[in-house]
Amino acid sequence: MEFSQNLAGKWVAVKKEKAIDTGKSLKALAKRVTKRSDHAQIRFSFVPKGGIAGILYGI
Amino acid sequence: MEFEYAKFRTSDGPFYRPSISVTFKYHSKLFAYQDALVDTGSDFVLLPLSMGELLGAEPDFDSALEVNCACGNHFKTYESRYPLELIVDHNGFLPRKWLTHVRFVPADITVLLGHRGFLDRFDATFYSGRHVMELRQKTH
Repeated sequence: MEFSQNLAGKWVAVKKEKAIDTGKSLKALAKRVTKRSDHAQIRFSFVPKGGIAGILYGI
Repeated sequence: MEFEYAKFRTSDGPFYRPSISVTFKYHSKLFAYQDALVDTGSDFVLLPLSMGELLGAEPDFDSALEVNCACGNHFKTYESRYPLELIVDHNGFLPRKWLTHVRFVPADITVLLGHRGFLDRFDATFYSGRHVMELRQKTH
């Protein structure tokens, strides 16, 4: 999948390799997604900001 | 199995990272993750604590382990009290699934698939020119 720059630092809900919703909180995002009729097709991902080198974002 | 790298657009240009989509299962709950990072530099499978909460997978807070990162800092991780099922479902292949303990991190992180619980089950080849990773399940 290709993640655009505006998704950096956010949780993303993905359907067929396209971002369909985003949020700062996984819990809130997941809650919105479970209300969708297609929720079983949705994956989640947390997009790091910038480059990474053994550094975990948020630590 | 071949997996295309995930592409991340940043202000420093695009980064291509070896990633695969995996599903974590605990009891009847599933969590499907898009493009977890296959990380040869990680000793463990690391998940954010928020994922564990959604799965209902309890961390063992008595199992705190300080893990070091390349930045020179360290951070606490907590092992899952019980193993989770990790499922790799790739087009054209039978699903691969196994039970493994993971470690939870109290922060928002991208899921890291490190050696214990993931890479120790595969032989991995990274084709940087094609941005493709090949995983062959070990038979021994």
